[in-house]
Amino acid sequence: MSYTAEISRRNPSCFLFLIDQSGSMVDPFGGEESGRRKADQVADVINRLLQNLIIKCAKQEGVRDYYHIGVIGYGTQVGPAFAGALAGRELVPIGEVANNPARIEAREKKVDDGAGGLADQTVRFPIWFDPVATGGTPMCQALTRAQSIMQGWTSQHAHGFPPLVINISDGEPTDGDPSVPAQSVIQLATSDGNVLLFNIHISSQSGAPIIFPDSQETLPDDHARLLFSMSSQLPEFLRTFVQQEGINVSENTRGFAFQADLVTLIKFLDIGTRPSNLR
Amino acid sequence: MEAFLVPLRVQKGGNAEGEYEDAFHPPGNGKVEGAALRFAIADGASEGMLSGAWARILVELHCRFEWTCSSLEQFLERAYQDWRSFKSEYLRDRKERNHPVQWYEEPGLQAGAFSTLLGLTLTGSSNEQAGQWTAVAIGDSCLFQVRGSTLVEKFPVERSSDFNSRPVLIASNPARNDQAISAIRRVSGTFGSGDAFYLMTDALAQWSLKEDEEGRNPWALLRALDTEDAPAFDVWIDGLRSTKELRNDDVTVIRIDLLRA
Repeated sequence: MSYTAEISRRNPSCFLFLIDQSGSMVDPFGGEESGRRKADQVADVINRLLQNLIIKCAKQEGVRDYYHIGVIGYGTQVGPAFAGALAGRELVPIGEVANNPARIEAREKKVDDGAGGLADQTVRFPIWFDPVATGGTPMCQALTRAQSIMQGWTSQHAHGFPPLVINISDGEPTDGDPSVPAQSVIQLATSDGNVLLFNIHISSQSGAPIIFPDSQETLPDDHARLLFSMSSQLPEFLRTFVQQEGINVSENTRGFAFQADLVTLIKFLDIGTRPSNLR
Repeated sequence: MEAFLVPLRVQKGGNAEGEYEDAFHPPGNGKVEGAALRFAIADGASEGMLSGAWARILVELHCRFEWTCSSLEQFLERAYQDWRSFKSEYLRDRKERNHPVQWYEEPGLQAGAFSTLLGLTLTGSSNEQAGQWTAVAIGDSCLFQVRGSTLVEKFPVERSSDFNSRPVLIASNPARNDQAISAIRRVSGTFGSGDAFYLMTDALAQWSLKEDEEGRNPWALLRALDTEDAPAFDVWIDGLRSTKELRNDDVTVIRIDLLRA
């Protein structure tokens, strides 16, 4: 059976994020009226995904290295995008990522006050990435780089839980058809299954978020359809979880999201007993 | 009434001993006596903060709590009090060690800890090795009553295929316990001289049930575990993990032998 390998410190898995930092990301996100740029949304998505993934691996007094994390930025250049102490590194144990954000901001959050109302609470919100929007969109180069990094990782962890590559982009490549390098990424495998490639489409179009669709028909434009067609079909274990979240799935359901962050994906990661009363 | 207690435990493969998050009570091994004997086992959820400490609070409280005239809600009130004392002591210690709580620990500390609980009470007269047993369970830690080499009672999980990694557990945060309160299970029965009870956390319980379902009698093997000729418990568990017969998790079993009269 595929996608059943244990994820632990001695058998870690891997997340590789590809983030579009091209000039087109300066355009508005989700329609002119949002007041946000696509680059702002990309930074939010990657920061939130990293934050949630780290919290998932956190125990008292530390973060367990269940994953190796890489972030490749593509725009003016294609390469590792971590700043500060992690600059230049392709894959970093998640504990190091946790302890090296660029900064930690204090944000206000509304929480249940226990008496039927809401109270303001200050929470610490780590920032690894600030919005960047310059240059072209060399998505093919980014996927080729991902293929090379994943080839190295899968050969070193031949029996590991397969890595997940998440590409966050507006789907407007400037260096050719990304379907070919995308295919070469998802052809890589460990003995436990193929590498998964998911795409998060950050668009200037307004419209309701879509996650894990099973057909192109509901998608708003060609950019979304391109990213959808490059995405891995969900393996059975993920289809089951997605279905439990109330999303209709079929064998054609793909790892694609439009204007959404896929943070819900983190909940599906199985690294031990998760109480069903912890949502 | 007298019973002989043998606890065996080993942490998840790849983890340090201090990262073991199951708990059991009483802590020692050997003979225990009394008109009522209490035992408990708990499995702190791997996803959650300070789960091992919460599991210890639950097993210790079970063994000193007056269940006969109290409700689960009263048990939980006492457990929450113990948890609050433990947590404030823990946070004070972190401060004194100049090791402040990090941003990634905050959500887990707020959500609290989660654990199973399986408690067993044996009551009988002092001159007979027979009597009544009652058990209480939340989550998937299991009790097995074995007579000779026959499994006569299994609780609360009945089939090896019924285990999953999303059980309802007891939370240290009262706001998250509605499901647990309605998921509590109780059962009672009788025991006789020579019976054995096994309390197990889920990984070994699932293995034991599967072995039993397939007619391989795990009870003889489990009974022999603390004898001189048997392999060390951690070596035996490692072997089962390497052949994928046993999920890699903390493993705890306590065997309670009712001595023959």
